[in-house]
Amino acid sequence: MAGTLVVAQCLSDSVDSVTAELVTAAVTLGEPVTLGVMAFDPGLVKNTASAGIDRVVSIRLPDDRPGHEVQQRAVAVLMDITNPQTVLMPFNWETAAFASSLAEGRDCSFASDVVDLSHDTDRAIIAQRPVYGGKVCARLRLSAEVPAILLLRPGSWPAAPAASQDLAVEIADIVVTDESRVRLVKVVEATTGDTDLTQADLIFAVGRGVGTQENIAIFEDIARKFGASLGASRPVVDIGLVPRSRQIGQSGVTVKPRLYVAFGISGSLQHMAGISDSKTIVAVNTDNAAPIFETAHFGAQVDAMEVARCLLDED
Amino acid sequence: MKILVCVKQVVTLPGPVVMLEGNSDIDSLYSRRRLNEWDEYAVEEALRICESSDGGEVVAVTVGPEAASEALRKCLAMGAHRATRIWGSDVQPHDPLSVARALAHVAGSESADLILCGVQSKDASQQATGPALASALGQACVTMATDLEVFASEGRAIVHREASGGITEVVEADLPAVITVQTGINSPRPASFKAVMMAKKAPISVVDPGDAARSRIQMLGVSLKAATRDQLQMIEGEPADIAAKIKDLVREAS
Repeated sequence: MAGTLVVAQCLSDSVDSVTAELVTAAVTLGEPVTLGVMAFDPGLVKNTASAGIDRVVSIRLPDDRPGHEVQQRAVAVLMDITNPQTVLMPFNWETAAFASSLAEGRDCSFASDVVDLSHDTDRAIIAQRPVYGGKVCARLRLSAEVPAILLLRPGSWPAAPAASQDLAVEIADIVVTDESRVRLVKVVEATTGDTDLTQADLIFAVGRGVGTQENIAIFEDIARKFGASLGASRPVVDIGLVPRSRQIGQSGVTVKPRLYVAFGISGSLQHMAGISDSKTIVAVNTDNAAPIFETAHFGAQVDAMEVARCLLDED
Repeated sequence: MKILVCVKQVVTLPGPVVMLEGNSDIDSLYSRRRLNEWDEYAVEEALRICESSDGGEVVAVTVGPEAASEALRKCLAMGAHRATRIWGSDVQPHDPLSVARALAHVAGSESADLILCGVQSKDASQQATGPALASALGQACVTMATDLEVFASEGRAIVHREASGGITEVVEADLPAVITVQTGINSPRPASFKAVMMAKKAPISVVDPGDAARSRIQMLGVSLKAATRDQLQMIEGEPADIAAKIKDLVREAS
């Protein structure tokens, strides 16, 4: 048991771009780094080479949209082949569906949403992860007696540079079966509703801090006045104040406006995943410790409704 | 139909963060506790499934110290029939595998037809307990449920799963299974005053899972999250000044 296995998910012929960030994290652990590529057709996968990778092993998936039981089995095979001390995967809705199950079944240790990694003198992993709503980081020590499976938060490490030359890709000679107790019936695409936020240049978005239907109506007026599109964070969509098509974040739409103004949005990891490509982010929130201020370019610690009233005033 | 719902009493920090001496953890005097939002939806979903079939039983389970009983009482007030609290010296609440194995210790003997969890807890956000519990029980798992239809006699469920980018996966899962529930799947019912009072007096059984919940994770301490606000420029002044700055930014962007 030695070395670090970085598991790469693939979108047709390229590995997920977050993989290069995981490679940076793996290199800091100081052990040999193996890239494990899961792909429907490993022969097509191109950008597997990041500086710091010592070996590339690919595994063939039986389906181009593999379920989580199939992915779990594929990672287990990669672990059998490489016998790693540490396994790194990105933290997303797909890996979260099976990674803790894999760790439980193989008696590994586990942590997700990890933002910092190091070793102690006994070679145990010290992982840091945000807790209590993201205001505090917990430092966890994962015993070196068993392998550790860790899901890393995207955006927490810089991407490793491309390697100067490609490594030979070993394709595992093992067939992963597509049997599963959970079978895909169909995929339903997003409904765009009355507006396409993905194309909007100016977005005003409302969150729990704005609260009521009455207040949201005020922001509809403001958005109309400034020619902005109105978006929302998950909590106000869940309670039915704003239609689902206007939900911004990992599970909603990803936006890339020139200006994003968030009113009363604290900025969960899932919400931030949907707005990180915005050119300028403004956050208006009463809570000075809200995570959205870490990503915002401009911030104001004030009640969103007080600003709203001033925005409606004539100049 | 017997449904087990796994819930958590989560910690929220309404004000500034206050640490214990030596930064071993946050000072609980300055925190609040409540039933995890996702779990509230899971309880509601369990109650609805039972009500729409020919009755059944909803059992609420939590892993936590005495204070966590409050979360169970909330579930009982909503309509859960029984509640069990699991706690012992080997449980490591920061380790989802330890928590999942503690839950499996009780779930194994309850033999429920279905187990529901929230997708994640507000305070730890690992999204890990449900899938780990499914593994410990040898059951299938479906995460991120936004719609759930149970066909108990056929031993299957149809689940809508929330994928990224607004996409929904519709899957069929073999039962028994562990399903994690996303917020917004339903509208959790408020508990009546009478039900809250009844729940205060309801018995809650307590189980120690012993070394079944042993963990390989040690919590070393907490630190304030490193400030990554290099690019942040605070807009000072009255609301009118802030509105004026936003108007400027809108003009620049248009």
